[in-house]
Amino acid sequence: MSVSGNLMDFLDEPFPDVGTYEDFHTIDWLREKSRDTDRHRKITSKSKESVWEFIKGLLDAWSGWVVMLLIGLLAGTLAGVIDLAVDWMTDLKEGICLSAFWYSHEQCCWTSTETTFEDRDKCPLWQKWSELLVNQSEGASAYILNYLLYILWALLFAFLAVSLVRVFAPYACGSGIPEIKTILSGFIIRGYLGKWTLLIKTVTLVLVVSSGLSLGKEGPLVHVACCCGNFFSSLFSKYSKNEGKRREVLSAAAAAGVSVAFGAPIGGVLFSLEEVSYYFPLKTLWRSFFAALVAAFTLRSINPFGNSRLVLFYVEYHTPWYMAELFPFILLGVFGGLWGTLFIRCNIAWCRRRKTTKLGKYPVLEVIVVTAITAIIAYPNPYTRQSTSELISELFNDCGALESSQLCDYINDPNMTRPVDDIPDRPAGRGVYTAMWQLALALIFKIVITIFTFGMKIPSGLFIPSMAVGAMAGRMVGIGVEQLAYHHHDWIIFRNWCRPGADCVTPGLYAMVGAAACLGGVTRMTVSLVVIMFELTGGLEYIVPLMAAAVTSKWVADAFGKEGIYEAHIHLNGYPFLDVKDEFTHRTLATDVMRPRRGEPPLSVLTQDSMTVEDVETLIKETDYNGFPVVVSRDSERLIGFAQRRELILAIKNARQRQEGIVSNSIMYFTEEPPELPANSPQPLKLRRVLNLSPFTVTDHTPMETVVDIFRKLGLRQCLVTRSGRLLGIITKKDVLRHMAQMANQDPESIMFN
Amino acid sequence: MSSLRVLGWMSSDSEIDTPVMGFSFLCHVMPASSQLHSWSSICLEQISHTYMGVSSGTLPLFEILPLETYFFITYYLCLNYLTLKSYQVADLKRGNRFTSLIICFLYSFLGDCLHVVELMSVREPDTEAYCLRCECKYEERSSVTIKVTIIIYLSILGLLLLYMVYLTLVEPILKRRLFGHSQLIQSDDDVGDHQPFANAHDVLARSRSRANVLNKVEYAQQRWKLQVQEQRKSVFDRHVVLS
Repeated sequence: MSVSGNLMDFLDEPFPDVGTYEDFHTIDWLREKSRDTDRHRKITSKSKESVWEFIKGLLDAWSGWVVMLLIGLLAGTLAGVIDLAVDWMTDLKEGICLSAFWYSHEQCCWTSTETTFEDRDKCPLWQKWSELLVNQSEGASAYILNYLLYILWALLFAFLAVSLVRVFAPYACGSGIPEIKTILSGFIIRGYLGKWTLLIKTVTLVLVVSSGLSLGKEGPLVHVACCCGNFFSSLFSKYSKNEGKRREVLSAAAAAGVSVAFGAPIGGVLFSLEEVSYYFPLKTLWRSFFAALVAAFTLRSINPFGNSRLVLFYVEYHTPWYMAELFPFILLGVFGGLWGTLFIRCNIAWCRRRKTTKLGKYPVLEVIVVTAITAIIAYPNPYTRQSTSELISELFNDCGALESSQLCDYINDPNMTRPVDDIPDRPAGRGVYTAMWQLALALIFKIVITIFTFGMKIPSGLFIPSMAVGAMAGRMVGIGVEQLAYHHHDWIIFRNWCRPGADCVTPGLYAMVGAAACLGGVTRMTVSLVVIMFELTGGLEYIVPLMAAAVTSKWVADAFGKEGIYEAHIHLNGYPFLDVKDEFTHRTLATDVMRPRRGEPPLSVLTQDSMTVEDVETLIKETDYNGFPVVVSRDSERLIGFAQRRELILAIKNARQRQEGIVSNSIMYFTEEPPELPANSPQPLKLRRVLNLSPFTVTDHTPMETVVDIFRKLGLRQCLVTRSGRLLGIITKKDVLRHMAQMANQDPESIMFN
Repeated sequence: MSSLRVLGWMSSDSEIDTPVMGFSFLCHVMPASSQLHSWSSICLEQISHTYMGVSSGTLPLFEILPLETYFFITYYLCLNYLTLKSYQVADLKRGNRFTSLIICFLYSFLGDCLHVVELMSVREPDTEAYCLRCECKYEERSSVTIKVTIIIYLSILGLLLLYMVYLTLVEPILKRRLFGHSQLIQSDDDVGDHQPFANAHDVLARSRSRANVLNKVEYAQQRWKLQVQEQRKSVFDRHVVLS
């Protein structure tokens, strides 16, 4: 375990040595794995020498757990800070607490004795802006002033956020999960998980969530947690020098991110396993769980919501559900699947338009316009004025005796003889009807505006908006079923299980099921979704409805398109991501995909010992391939190995600077012994150490199914094609991806005899 | 000073025969030093009616009150040492864990009228009986955490905004004044570049000679600016990543 040097080294530019990768390239998983095995073997053999070496070996073994602990602590702390700051800044749009400006509305009226039962949050210490500025709290002018100030605050927050992103860390925009998926599959994006990205993403996430835009913070929290993971892994050389090991740490950090976002440690680990990670060995499973747990404990000790819960919408009721209710649950699942498909198609179309037309040239203006539209339309409707998390919390909650919101405005029977927490079904009062059409308007608004919000140049997640859409639809369906059951309790479908005077239908459960269905329809999560939802609610008895809705929504959504939102964004950006979920079932062979094709210039190869330094440099300059196969000679093209472009360049540069006698005419050789040369020829250059002697090869008749499988399972970057030992061509990961895309659009039969 | 807020319900398995319906406790916790005389009346609106069973029942709570007082909301003071110790309510002024008072006020659901809350203090031996009936939900907040977090966040945001203003507005003006016209002629092609960090290349080229800390800091800063410029190009201009 070694910590990086002092400040001066920190400020120096890192010297690129052999073994690091260039930006926007894929790593070599096999090489990283073998390097780690070498390092481990060296430490183990040295640990037998002395006590100090033994201790160093122990520290090296424990460094993984130390990194997880640090990641959990920092991720939990940042999530707590974000929650507290969002709580305060969201209320800042409406008013301010006079006693202490850092209190949000609820905290300000906490200890007040002037609260009423109906208006629990109204107290003289908290004043709306109209009260503060013109001393009026009711009336048209107060409403207009509040409206105006709401819009102004929202615009200010959004403008600050997009400016900060633009000036300091352009990589901080978007959700982050598509890029993290690609990074974890082996891609390098330098700076994406850097310190400035971490800082800016945290700060601007608070700003954009507080500005009332229709986005969530869960996806960006995964990015923040991965930045923490990157930061801590750079402190230990075991992880900083090995890109493969670093990605194990990042998988665990992603689990910690979801854990603090939802208060769901197990759900976080499953999310990391199912959605984000590419390789997930069992060792990572246990370490991810540890990181998620530490993060959840840290967040709990900060206690941002005051009730030792980790999420604002933790609900705890245990009213049972009935088998006949599976039918509306499945309907909600169908709605979730349809909405997911609609959202993915519309959002990808809008993002493509942003990418290719003039719309993409005005990112700041776009953010401001969308914020203005959101604020103007959201303010009049009380369900869109409040923050989305509070909306979901209100929709999930069952109407108990202490609730005074509009949704719980039922007509109470004076002769009722039931205890408080098991209130039977009641007919809806006027407040409920008002709430229903307001919710319908809010639903339509949220469906439309989220399409334009996700993907802007600000940190934006989509878990919370999807859950809000589903919760609104679910609650409306639940209230509908409840009223139907109350007014027509003698129908056949209700007769068996719903007696009059019993508490049959819980609309809050319908809201939860709807939220799960919509989230599943968009992201196509399966097990992790169900686990997250039941960890959110604490209701193990609701697993079956949640599963029914999640499965239905995934089936319905998969019928229209196989990609979830994150895979769709990966395809839009063209990242080299070989999805493990894609099945390749076409019957093409390796010869159909390999390069060079017929009509293309022949393969650029290096020979074993007959090229000069000048030849090699010319070859490198003229082509832009990432690597060159090395063969015995031009006549017998028997394969020796493979050499990477970057390493060739570095090795030649090093040799020219440091070794004596190396000139442009020097012969470059890859064998153990230098070749036979005439007496007055210059010093030959040995470059055996940059040669990979075990490149992966397949024969030309290997089916592409096997080749794709090899690429996926081993994480290859390129694969050489040989026939009877002679080198024929090369297949790179990009070729494989292009071929798969081509096969998806065309009839496979027509490609066979190309 | 932090405080606890307790929401409670009357449990239905007490020694009362008829189920107690429609009662709820809303408890506030105040530090022991607060004055009790400042309780004002609170009007609560009723939700549902339950007292048919209660008025004929054997509730010891209400033996001392006439039936009319069912229509009134009363406060009960409960001392709850044991429960609160485990929540470690901290009082910064007094510097120790102290006992807090749970003030539970009972409100009922009757008729259409608004009800007035009256304060009624209960002696300590009786409080356990009342509190045992409470099924309380606890909420706890630490005002120190909130204050520290918000102030730290605002200061970081302020620093970032100041730095942003400096980088985008002040620094180009300073550089232009410092290096005069010769620099402008040299970097003609940079004039069209309105992005921040436009002169990072020049500074990098110039400052390779000296090696003291200040120059190293400036060199690192310029390198960072170049990186951000590259990122900005790929995200905002070419739309290669993160579109």
